[in-house]
Amino acid sequence: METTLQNLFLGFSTVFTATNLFYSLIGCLIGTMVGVLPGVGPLAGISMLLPTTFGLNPTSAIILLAGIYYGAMYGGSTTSILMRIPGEAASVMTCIDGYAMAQRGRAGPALAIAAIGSYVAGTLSVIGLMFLAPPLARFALGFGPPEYFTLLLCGLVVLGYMTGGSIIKNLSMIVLGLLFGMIGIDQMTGYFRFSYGIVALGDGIGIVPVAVGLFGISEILATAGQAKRPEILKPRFRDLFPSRQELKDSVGPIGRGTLLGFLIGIIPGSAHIISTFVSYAIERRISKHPERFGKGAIEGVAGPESANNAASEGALVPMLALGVPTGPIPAVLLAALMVHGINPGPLFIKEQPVIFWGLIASMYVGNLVLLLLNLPLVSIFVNFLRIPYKILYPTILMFCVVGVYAVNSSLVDVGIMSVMGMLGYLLRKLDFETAPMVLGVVLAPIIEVSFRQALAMSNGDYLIFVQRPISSIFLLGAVVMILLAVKPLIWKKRGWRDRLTEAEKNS
Amino acid sequence: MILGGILVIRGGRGESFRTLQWPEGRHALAILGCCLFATFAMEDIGYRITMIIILGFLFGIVERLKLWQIFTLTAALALGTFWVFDSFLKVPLPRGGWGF
Repeated sequence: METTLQNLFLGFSTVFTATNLFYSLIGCLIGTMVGVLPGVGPLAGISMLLPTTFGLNPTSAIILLAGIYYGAMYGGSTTSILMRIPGEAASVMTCIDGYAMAQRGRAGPALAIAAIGSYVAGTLSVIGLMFLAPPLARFALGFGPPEYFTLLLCGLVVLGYMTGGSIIKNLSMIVLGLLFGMIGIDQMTGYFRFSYGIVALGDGIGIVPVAVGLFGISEILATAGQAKRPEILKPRFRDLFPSRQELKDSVGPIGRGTLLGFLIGIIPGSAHIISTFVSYAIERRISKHPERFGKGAIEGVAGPESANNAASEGALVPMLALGVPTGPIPAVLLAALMVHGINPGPLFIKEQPVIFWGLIASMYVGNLVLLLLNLPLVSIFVNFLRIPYKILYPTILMFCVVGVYAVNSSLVDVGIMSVMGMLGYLLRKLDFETAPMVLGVVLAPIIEVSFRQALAMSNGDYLIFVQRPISSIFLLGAVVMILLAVKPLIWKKRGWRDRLTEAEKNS
Repeated sequence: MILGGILVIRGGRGESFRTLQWPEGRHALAILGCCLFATFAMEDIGYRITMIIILGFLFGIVERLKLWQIFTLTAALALGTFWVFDSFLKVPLPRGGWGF
């Protein structure tokens, strides 16, 4: 406890410099804008803005990018409540009761409760992250290559299961991502693989062009030329304050949403989306008046919004403690750390205490900034929605091109982004999820090296993966997930995965 | 690669692919064309000229904005992002053969 407090003090002394406070503030503001604008998700936003951090020191860079991440999670609720358009998939559930409240003239309190819930969930989750990540990293220090390989394998299977849609499609996307991740020079032998004589592919395919292509460009391709936006409600500052009853009704959902969101956030997959689903379902089930849900129940806003923000910070636990991203956004944050010369993994917290504890402290500050600035500025953020999409999408396209080019000053990366954009567009049309592919690309080098090192340890004996206790537990976890995925084929029953798929489609 | 090609062609004739609607197809083609143009032209003609051409094409020909809007937006975005990234953030962007 004492060590944690000392480290937290170190973190706050890092953050409370004019520069880092400025970057935390800027990150939160940009993140909110990214969350507010439909079509620019947090992943594309972080990827596009990654090059702007190259001139910064690693601590400021990660503070800025993390600010964009949780700022975007917060901003998504604004469009859900005011326009019934989720800024990102995790805000789908907020649409239901948030928009119903807005139609009854209670848009302000819905926005305020979403902000308060996000703040409480964000802050409590940082406490969880602070206490959970360091011991988890210490535990993972005992992992050898077999444990690491099976951990990653289990993580990928869990991701395939927890992401909506067909698990076969999800697993095939993971394998495609792993194949893309294997392009380039073989780390152990030095051979060029799958590069077809293109020297520029020797370094492999970067995460940024893949992420921007699959999420930024494909979104533009799918949405350009869309019909005119619906009318936007614009609440006034004095209308924002919730009533005493609304505040009282929100306390329980915020608490439950936070706990649920944080725990689900640690699991790979569409954690922030799933957590909002579970939170909404629980609130409706335990409510004394379930008939109010769908017609403007404040609990239907408070619970999912808290769960969403808690999950986004829970997702940072495995990323910071183990170097294992659980979704595409932590994967890009991981890539950002690597761009700045930092090796993520179990030694990260020990070797880079200033960055880790600076990030933790910046989250406390960032959550407060989001609460204090975004509520009064909500009417300004709403104005971004008035920009016609025919002006917006060429602008986003330009930022995609410049963002991807700037990472390596390489036009090959711009070409990869274009190809990935086209691929992502076609895959979306055919109901494939692209998030597992991004994770496959990121994890391919780590999973391959761990696999080959493990086999080198055992002289090629595959039994090493089942003989070691921790590794066999991870393998068992993967098998259980596959069996759970097969279950609906035997019992034809509509499960939570079907509802998740439906919601993701609607977003 | 040959087998992959056969798979794609046969897949294109499949029921689920044939029934797809492409209402945004015209825009998608134009945007993809712009991405490919940037890939092949940016090194030779520079960032600013490439972006002026791409944005001018999208705002003017695809979206049919008013002339003053096209000029203002194209110039502001192309030159503005160059200033932000290249001059302010010191991220080198291509200048092409004419130094622009």
